[in-house]
Parts: sequence; C-alpha cells; structure tokens
Amino acid sequence: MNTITLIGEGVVDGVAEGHALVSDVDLALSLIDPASGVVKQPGHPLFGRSVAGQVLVFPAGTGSSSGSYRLMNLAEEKYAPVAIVNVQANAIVTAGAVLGCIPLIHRLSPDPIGAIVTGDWVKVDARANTVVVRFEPPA
Amino acid sequence: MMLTSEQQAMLDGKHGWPKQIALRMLAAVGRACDAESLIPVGSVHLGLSGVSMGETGMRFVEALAGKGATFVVPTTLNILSVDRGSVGTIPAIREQEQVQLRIARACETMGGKPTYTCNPFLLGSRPARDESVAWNESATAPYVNSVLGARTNREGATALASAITGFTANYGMHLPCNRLGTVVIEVTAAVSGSDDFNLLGGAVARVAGAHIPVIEGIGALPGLDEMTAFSAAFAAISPMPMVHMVGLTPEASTVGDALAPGASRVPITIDAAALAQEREFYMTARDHKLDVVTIGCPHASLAQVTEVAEAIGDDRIDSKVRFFLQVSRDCAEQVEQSEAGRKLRAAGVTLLSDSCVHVAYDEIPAGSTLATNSLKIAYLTGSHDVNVRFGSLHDCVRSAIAGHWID
Repeated sequence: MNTITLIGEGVVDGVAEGHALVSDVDLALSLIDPASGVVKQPGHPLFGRSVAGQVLVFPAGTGSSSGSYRLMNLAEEKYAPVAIVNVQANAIVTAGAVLGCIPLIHRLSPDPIGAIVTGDWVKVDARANTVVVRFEPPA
Repeated sequence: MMLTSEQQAMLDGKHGWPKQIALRMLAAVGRACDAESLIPVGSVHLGLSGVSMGETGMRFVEALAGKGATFVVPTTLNILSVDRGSVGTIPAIREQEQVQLRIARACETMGGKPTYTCNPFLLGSRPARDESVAWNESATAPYVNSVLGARTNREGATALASAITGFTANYGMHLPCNRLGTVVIEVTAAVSGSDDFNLLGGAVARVAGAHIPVIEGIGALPGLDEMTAFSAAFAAISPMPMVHMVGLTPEASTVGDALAPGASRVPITIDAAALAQEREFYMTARDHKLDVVTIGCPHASLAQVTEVAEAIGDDRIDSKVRFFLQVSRDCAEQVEQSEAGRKLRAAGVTLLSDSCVHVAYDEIPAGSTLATNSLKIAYLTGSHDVNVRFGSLHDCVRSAIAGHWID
C-alpha cells in the first residue's frame, strides 16, 4: 500500500477518513442539493456527484454566503462530506464547517489538487495538520 | 491569533453556548484568513432568508434565542422569503412561510430590528468612516466600503456570530492595505440616473475581475439611489467588496491615493458601447412575450416609487403581466398613504414588501419571461429557467402597459 502525507494547517478541528472526491474548480456550497448531497452547480466537474460521506477536496469556496448554512443542513441530514480539504479556506466554508462539525484543513504541501485523486482513501487530521493519502482503499 | 481574555472566555464556554459557537466561527475564520485578532464591530446587517437558512437554520437561531443569546450591537435584518403582508394567501408555501416567520421571530427576540430590507441605507443606517462592521447581503458591501468609507467583508453566517459577540476577524477589508485598488478604469460613457449606474456596476465588475478597481471619469457624482444600484450590480458579478470612485470614495481623492504601489496606471476604458454590450449579456428572452416585471432591486426609494407611478401615468399594467415593485415595509406604508400609492394600486402594481422575487418562496414559474431594470435580478433569474429582458425602468413600464416587450 502506497501512502503519502500532506502537511498543512488545520482550520476546524477533527479527524475523519473516507474516499476522496476531488475537483480543481472552486465550489459553491450553496449549490449542493440539501436533500441528497448532490452537486448542482452548473458546469462544475462534480455536477451530479454526491459529496455525502466523502473527503471533499477543492481549491476554495465560491458563490452565495448562504453556503455556510447549507453545510450545516447537509450535516444534519447526513449528506455532508466527512472532511473538507481546501487549497485556501474562506469564511463561507470555514463558518459552515464549524456549524456542521466538519474537520477542515488547508494550505497543504504538496498541493492536494493532484496529490489526491478521486477514489483515494484519505485520512484528515486537522489537529495534527496532516492528510494521509492511500492509493488503494483498504480491504 | 491573539484573543483577549474576554474572547477566550467566550470560546471556553464561560459565557454560554451561543457566544461559544459564535466565537468558534470567528476564531476559525480568523485563523483561515491570517487575522491577528478579533476586533469590535459597530453594527451588523443580518441575512435571514428562509431559502438560505432552511429548517436547519431555523432550529439554530431558535436554539440561540432559547439559550438567551442577544445581539450586542445594533443589528438590522435583511429581506425575507415572504411578504409579511400576504402570509397564508398561497397554500403551496404555507409551511415554508412558517419557517421564515419563526426565523424572523427568533432574530427579533435576540434584538434584531425588523427592517427586512436589502437597502438599509434608505432607513438611515450608515456606518461611520473607518468603522468596522459586519454586513451580510453582498449588495451592501460596496456601498459600505466605497461610499461611506466604513469597513466590511462580505459576510454570511459570520454576521450572526458578530451580532452575538460584537466582534469580527480582522482581515480583508478591515485592513487598509487590502483596500487599495489594483486596476484603473476610465469611464468615458456618460452615466446618470440609477439605471445607468446599475449597468456601470456590472461593466466595471466584468473588466475588473478579481481586482479592486479605481474608477475615474465619472462626471456628476452619483447620489444614494445611483450608488445602491451600482453596488448591487457590482456585487452580483464581482467577488470583491469594494471599488474606489475618485472624488466619491473617502479614500480616493485622487487615483494615486487609491491605487496600490506598483499597480499599473494605464486605464481600461468603459465607453458607451461597453455599457450597451453589458445590457445584452443578460437578455435571454428570444421573443417578446412578457409575464412578470420587477423593479426595486435593491429595494426602491420613495423617489423611485414616484418615478414608476409617473411613468405609468393614467395607464394600466396589462392584465396578463404581474408587476412587482419591491420596497421595504417602511417605504410601502408611506407609499400607501400617498397619491403615488393610489395611482399604483389603480394601475395594477403589486407592492412587494420585506422580500423580492429572487428570494421569495413564491417562485417565478419556469419558462416565464421576466423584465427588470436590475442587473442583479436579471443575472440571478437568468440561471433559473426564466427568460430575461433587462431594460431601463421606462422600458419595463412601457412594456408592462403594452403586455409585451417593446425594444
């Protein structure tokens, strides 16, 4: 099993692991369907994919500031990502991660967009400031 | 990030759960954005629409109010997803309306002022020069920063946290070094009146991209209605919370004052053709059918309401067209007792208070054609299976009377 460890800065505390869902395009949390966790942002590479239970990896949040409440809503409905990895976290994603109790980490080296591929098994430890990536899911 | 002993006590839960969760939000945002401290805010403008907050948000604000949270700084409340004057008239949205009314009640219990408008400037809400505030509703941020010279970032749930604690993270627009412009825009087009400045806001945002623009060449400096129209359009397209308008923005007496060291002084020009082109971007309607007209984004002033009444004159809105004039409750009450109010009622205009067609639960049906003089509404509804005509106030009124769009 190959693993690499990315070092960054934890923003919202917590430890979680799951399969990665990765995009190199900024994501509007407000355009995730609260009733399913499916991305509805027109033209987004993750359009139609569900974020539920995934480690969601994207450069930064964008769009409506109501995205924070959407993340809280998704968490309540069990459709939230288990952790979020950003290149740079902003206020929308950060406040939403606090409200939804979702671990959030950013400013990783090497760059998570590229180092992490959709489907990788990823463990986020926002307290230890690390993201451990395994190239194949455990048996 | 350094917290004061008071802030640390809030974070540790010594002042109760509401202040703890609020401070947790602010501290995390501060950490993410490299703030060195949390600073006091003078006021908050708080978003609370039901479509944004949902039932989860309702339970959250009710829990905060139930645990004794109060807003510790003056807090005005933004628009709702319902007009409080027409609650219960549309069966399909009765349950959602209750969600919105419960959110509003909780926010009022905590001390929010029941302004329910996206244009609190009309009610005299004016943060002072250099004062830090936390204002939600993206359309207000350019006005706060660029016209008043006060300081706000574009806020979301963090505005609620600021209302409860009285603090915000010291980053972004709160730091003078981040407020400098990095691109110069020269306006050679003649602009006057709200409709022109609305269009200009979009055109400036389009060419400025992720820069704070320094705008020169504006002949007669705009007034409140012009600049709230500009701000709403700019904020709909640009991610930035500020512009410098030379001669108007307190920090921009000259281009040199407002421009960051090293930034190019070579201007990008916006001419009359660029403004005309800007209008075309939002025209998604392919025929001349017309179902809905909406004026008043941001919420219209008394002067703008009067302008609509005068434009209609003794005519009537065509019976196939729903015509919404969006205003604050305060404005609606003044209008209803006036000659303009009588005229508007007789003409078939609906005064939509507390809300707007974009955030209302009562959605415009897919496939409809909507005409508006607001770039923000044109932009937002254009992405919702609604066909858009974007014209001047007078274009919209003439077309509404005719019952079809008139070029």
